[in-house]
Amino acid sequence: MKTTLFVLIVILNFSMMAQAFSKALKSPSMFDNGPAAITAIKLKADEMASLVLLEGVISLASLAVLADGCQLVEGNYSIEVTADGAINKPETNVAKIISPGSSELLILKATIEAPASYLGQNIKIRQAKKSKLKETLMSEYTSVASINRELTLLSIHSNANILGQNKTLNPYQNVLIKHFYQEQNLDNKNQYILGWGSASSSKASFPVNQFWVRFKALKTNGELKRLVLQEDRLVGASSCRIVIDSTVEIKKESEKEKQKSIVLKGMMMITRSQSHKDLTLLNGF
Amino acid sequence: MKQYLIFLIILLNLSNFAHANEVLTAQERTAFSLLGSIMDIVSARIDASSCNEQKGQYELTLFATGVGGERRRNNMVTAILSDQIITVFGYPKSLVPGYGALIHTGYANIPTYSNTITATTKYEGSYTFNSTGELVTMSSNLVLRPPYFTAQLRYSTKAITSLSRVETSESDGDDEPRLGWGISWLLNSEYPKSKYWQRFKISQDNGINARTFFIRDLLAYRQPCRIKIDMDGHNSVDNILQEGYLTIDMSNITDPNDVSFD
Repeated sequence: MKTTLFVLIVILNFSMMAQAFSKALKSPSMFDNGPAAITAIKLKADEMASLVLLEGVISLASLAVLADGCQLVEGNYSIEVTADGAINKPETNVAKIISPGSSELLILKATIEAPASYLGQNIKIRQAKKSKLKETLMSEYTSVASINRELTLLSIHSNANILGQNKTLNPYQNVLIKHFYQEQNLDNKNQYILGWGSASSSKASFPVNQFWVRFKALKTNGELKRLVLQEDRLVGASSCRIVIDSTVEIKKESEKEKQKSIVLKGMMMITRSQSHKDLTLLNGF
Repeated sequence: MKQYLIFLIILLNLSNFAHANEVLTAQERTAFSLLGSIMDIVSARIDASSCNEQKGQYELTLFATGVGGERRRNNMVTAILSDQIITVFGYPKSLVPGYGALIHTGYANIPTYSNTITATTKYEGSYTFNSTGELVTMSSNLVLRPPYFTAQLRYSTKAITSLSRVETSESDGDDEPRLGWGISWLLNSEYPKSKYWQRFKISQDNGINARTFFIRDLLAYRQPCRIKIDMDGHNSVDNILQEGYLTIDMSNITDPNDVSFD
């Protein structure tokens, strides 16, 4: 008995001594010859609003991953974004999330502030009412997205209260930095906007998860067609990927004049098993 | 005899639980926060002027015990820049079990009478480390007064840094170097302005002097710019006492360093 105990303790000792040896990531090779020249990216107001609303959706999902674990929130969620980009009109800039096997809507509304000359623009997102993301009850999700004038840098700070196992609402925070650059392409018909960055999710202001962030958007004839946002957890309980793949709804010729909003429909997929090196979706278009 | 041995192993186990996965020691966490604060101030000065104007090699001294509630000189860094001496103090808070560690840093406001410099008038930073010490996020607010202007420039900074141990063949535990990498960004007023790729490496005394490196490479701006801290001296279980240089030049991210971050 004593010997078994002894062996067990020795094994425990060694297991506690085992440390995580993770390899440092490198900055993308596009910076090898110095910083990329600032090429201003042009997006229409409605396109910008829809992009920031999707950023809000993915940051809300990453908070749910931290609160309840990747396994519990795993699944395919339907996303719909309607945005006209109008200043201070949250009722016309809306994202809706429908969880798998549920008809309950989680609604985010964006208040677009007037641009500050020479500096940039702020967009504030607020959750319409307390709602569930699958089984995770979320309330008071708010975020402030700040974009520089050239639309090459995006910084987002989010807060939410999430119902924990202790049956009380616990505060969670998320911070993200993303860098956009437009692929220089002589063929102007199809143009890609690429992006990468880092995000961190915290509980009670202490960081727990770190995500590696990637982005790709397709513009055809100057109009946004498809947006893919991807986050891979690097530091945290397990590997976890959150991907949003959304496509712009094509307007009928007769409706183009009447309908000024952009409508994006797509899916958000949360999975446990993929490595951050797997770029099948991003490279696939 | 066996009972004593079991008791000893249990004690060792408990001490392992207490510091199980902490990548940095308390004084190293404070050193990271203090050096990060100097980096933030220098990044803002570069934004307010230019990398070319700020380039040079400046003396740097660091002392950190990592213990809070002591006299503030026990956790401080001083950089002697060309036109201003900048001292930042660290205020480590008690470790919160299961959550992590919080360290506040603050610039000591020493009045300057010259109006030919970009003077730092305020710096307040908060550094939060997760419970295992593998991840640190920070945010800060700082104010600069550019030369000949009465108006002030308000900046804020944020950074997400991942920390890990380096597996080396000669490593025997405590003196194995620790690596950090991440992204730091500078916001002018409340809008993002520039972004840096940052790398960190720290080692403890191992018969030779301990060394600390902190490098930031500008990624999104007009021109390349590198801010590099290279220090050596003492780093053991009691405190860090190191001297070195802060170098600002116009290197690219792939230009060689004196240190490997692989």
